[in-house]
Amino acid sequence: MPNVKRLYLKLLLQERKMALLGIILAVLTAYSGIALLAVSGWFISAAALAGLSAVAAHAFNFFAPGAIVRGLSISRTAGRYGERLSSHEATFRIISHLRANLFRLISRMSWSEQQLNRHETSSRLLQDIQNIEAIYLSAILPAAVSFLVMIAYLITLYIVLPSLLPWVIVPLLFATFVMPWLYSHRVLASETKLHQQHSQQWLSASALLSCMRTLTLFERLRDSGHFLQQQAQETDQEEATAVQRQQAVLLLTQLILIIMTVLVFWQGLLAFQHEQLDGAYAFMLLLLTLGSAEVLLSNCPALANLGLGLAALGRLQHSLIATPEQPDTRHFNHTSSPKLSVQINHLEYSYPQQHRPVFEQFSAQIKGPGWVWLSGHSGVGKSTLLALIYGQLKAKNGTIDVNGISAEQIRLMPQRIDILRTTLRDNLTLNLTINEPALWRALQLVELDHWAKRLPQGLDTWLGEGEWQPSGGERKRIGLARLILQDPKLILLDEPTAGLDSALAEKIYRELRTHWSDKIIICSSHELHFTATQDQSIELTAG
Amino acid sequence: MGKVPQKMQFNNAADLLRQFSQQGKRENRLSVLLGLVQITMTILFAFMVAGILDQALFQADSTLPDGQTWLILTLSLVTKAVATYLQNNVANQASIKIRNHLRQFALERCFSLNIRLFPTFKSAELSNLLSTEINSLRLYFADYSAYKYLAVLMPIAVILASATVNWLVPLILAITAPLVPLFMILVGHKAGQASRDNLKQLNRLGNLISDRLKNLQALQLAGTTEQEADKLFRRSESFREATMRVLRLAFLSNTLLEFFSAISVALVAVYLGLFFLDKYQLGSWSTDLSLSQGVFLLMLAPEFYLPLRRLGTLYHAKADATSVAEHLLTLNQLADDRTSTDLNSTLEALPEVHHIYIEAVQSGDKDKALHHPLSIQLEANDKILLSGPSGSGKTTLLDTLAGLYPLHYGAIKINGIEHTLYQNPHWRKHIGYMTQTPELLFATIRENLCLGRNFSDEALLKALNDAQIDTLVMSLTGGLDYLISDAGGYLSGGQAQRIALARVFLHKPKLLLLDEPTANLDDATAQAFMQQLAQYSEQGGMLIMTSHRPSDRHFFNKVITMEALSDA
Repeated sequence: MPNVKRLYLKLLLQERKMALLGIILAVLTAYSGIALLAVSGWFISAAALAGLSAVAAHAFNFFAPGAIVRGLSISRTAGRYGERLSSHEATFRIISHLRANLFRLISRMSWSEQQLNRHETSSRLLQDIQNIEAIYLSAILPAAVSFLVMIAYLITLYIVLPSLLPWVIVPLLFATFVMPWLYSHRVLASETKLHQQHSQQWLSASALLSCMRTLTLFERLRDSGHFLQQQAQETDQEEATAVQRQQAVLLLTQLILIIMTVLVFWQGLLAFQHEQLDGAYAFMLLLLTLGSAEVLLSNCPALANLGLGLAALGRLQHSLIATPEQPDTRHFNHTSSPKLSVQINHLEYSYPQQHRPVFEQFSAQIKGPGWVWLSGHSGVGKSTLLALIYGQLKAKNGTIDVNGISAEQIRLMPQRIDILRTTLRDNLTLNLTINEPALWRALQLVELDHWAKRLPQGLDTWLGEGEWQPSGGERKRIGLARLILQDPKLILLDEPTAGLDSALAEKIYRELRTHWSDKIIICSSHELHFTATQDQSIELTAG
Repeated sequence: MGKVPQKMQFNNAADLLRQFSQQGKRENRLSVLLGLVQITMTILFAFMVAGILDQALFQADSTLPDGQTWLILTLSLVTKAVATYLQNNVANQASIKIRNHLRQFALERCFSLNIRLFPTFKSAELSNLLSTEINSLRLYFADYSAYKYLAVLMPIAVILASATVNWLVPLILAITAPLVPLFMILVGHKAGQASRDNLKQLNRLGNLISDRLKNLQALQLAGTTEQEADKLFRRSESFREATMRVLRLAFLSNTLLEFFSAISVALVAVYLGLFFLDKYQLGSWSTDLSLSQGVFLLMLAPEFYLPLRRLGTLYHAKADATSVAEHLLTLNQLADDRTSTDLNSTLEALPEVHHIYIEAVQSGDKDKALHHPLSIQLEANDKILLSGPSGSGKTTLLDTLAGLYPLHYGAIKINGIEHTLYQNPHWRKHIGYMTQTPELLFATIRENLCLGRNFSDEALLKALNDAQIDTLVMSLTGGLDYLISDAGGYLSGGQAQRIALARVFLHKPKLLLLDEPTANLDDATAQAFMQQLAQYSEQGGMLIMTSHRPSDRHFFNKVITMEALSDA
């Protein structure tokens, strides 16, 4: 199974230039912000002291510090702007790639492998993927900045007043390492729960909205609404707890930093009195400490954000969990034997949820080209057999030998035809390149050409949820048209004309018989009156 | 929790946000108060630092301040930190409260939506609105409403404090201050528009993803999922570009703010430096400006811009909130339409239904009927088949009879008296409606059958048996407690339909409305199923059903053929 964390790391490395630029600019911003404050503090007190001690004013080049102050303020502003742009650019690019890649991975899984339901998968692709931005934007970036700020602060202290180092090292280490750990320890669990509750909220809302008719008819709408509201209140409760804990840790961190600040100030003044330090520096140290403390404080949630991002990656990973795939029990022999046939030998299959096997030692022989009708009462396994031949389901035992046809030349029309929310054209071609006349020919074969012409925008009319909704019969025929366009050699049809009136179905079968004269068509249907004398038929019985 | 009034009137998005903000008024006031405590403490801190520096550095006989001074200095910082802590908690509480009301309001509006209006509001969009979008208002309701005031009050406090020692510094600050809202309005307006567009794009992307995942099978069967993934990537990229456009504007407005704040801090610093070097003597109240006063002014200068900068970052939250509010307004309007036009009649309880007369009824929209007028007499034991070509309005007619869709033409009389069926809870007790695509909840089979009422296992099994699905249900792990997932899970379309049918049987309605119940059944099962229907009808039930199956026809005692009105 592909590893989502590794995928993320790969994408992050791909975007390393932008990501690094973001970090560099962020550090630059922080440095110049702190230095701006510190230098102006130094400037004013130095200028003042110079004036007071009657040293010639010209000796003190006031233009230089003034220029530094201006330069720093501009570089801070520009740095912040560039940093935000580059770091967001990097993050969103990673998210785009990740989203497409995950979709690719999910769509390679067949639905029997997939353990999550579709709602959940889409909520993960939508919401969890947004949480991933936390890894770089709110974890790596602030952590890198605060670490470098701490180092710069220590170096400055070392140069200006080394005797201060023992006083600050403990609170500094606390603020940089211990507090983020504490924050993460206190908050991560409830934040993770909060995220889960948020996506649960989305799921409940969409479950409710997709069953509106039934819930309305059974007067269950209010109850479901109450449930939703109750769920939301629990989420709110969790959110309040999370915020409280966050703020408590932040308060604690701030207290530590306050102690450090007062200590630095006190020691700086002491050093001045002992003539170890210029007075201007004492004030500068205070401002430097205040500035650094602010940066360190904002780093507090970094570790927790990393945890959240990783948890989101974990959930995305979960959407890729598949039941282990069984080996393909089909054998294709399409080079040596040009004659089309399908041979089913001693097939055994049962659904994981059901005790009763669907097939036990089932065998059948199909010789093509021509039509094969699958009959048997509902639930006997007609659709299952088609899915087994298509390869969507894998048999426990037995083999299916397919001659004269490759795996790519099999196509299945399922009972439920999915309509994508896009144009009729795209719904027919499904991303294949097909020319206009071929499209109209296919529509004509399934008696949909007049219908399509009457649509407001013809082939470019949008179908699907919230757009033009094809009726049950139209859906079926769109499904058939898709198969005509895909032009397979072995065609598996699951109840293709259920819901169509007989005259129309008759007409369509007649057209398809001539169009598909050189193919094998296996068709499950309860309408056996469409069977022709030359057709084969297989009757499935229970057990 | 207070009850949200059923109907609310809003002038625009901002009005909606304002009305709901009222719910957190008290907390917001407290939050503003705590913000003022913070700025007071900041001023106190600057004052203390200036005093300490004065005493320890600038006086000829430099002494270290006493313990009390240090204590006040520390306490000013600690009080500020505690006030911040309290403010954040209070603000979040307000935000939770307001969002709770908002969510309840949105839910109420959803429930009064006409079922057919749903397509205008895609269900994914509505789920987003109910969960993600309302949650995303957290910051807006927590901080924006308080900072709207604090962004004015805190700078005023700084100006007042600095005005006690000097008039030029507050003047510098005051002159640069109006530039901030000016640029914020200029950039913010554009950013707000871009942010709304961006939210729309996010919604579209979300719809695309959930649609493609829901209908993934079609693409899998065509073997073209890779191309779809490429398309998705391109859409995702164009969303990124749109987002970056918004962020560029948002960051630009922030950058401008920071630029002004940095420039004015620099201006103050340079001015003070030059003052002490005797270059100017301008700005001080007395002829001299003491060093400690200079320090005090310098420390306060950045504080002037801090709340404005905070408001600047919240501007983004405001833009987002406005677009969410616009969504809510649309929802409110759609739901309002119905309330004003269709629920005027008072609904009286319906007695036992003996006789239904559908008189010259046409289903369809107010301005477009779907078929020629129909009249149907229904009594106990009647079995009626609705037939007609696709698109002649069979499903719409069933929706109308079920009270899910308003009736615009004709009348429906029950026991001889005309009644409004639409949204009529009394009517729902008498009918059972099985839709063409069965709606099964993400719940166990038992919950799906009972839907909130209590039934014995025997009754459940009887209903399942009537719907010819008992053997299958019992073979599932857990039987009645098997959890149905993802629109049926391992159940086939026909099986899901029969569970929906068992549900209808279980609740024993007087009138059964069935939309293509036999479309996915084989002949033998369909036969057995029709037998059950016959039994049901013999016990006094009425039945209206659509079917394409020719073999079903002989079973009914009336066949109504519907003809579509041709497009004029």
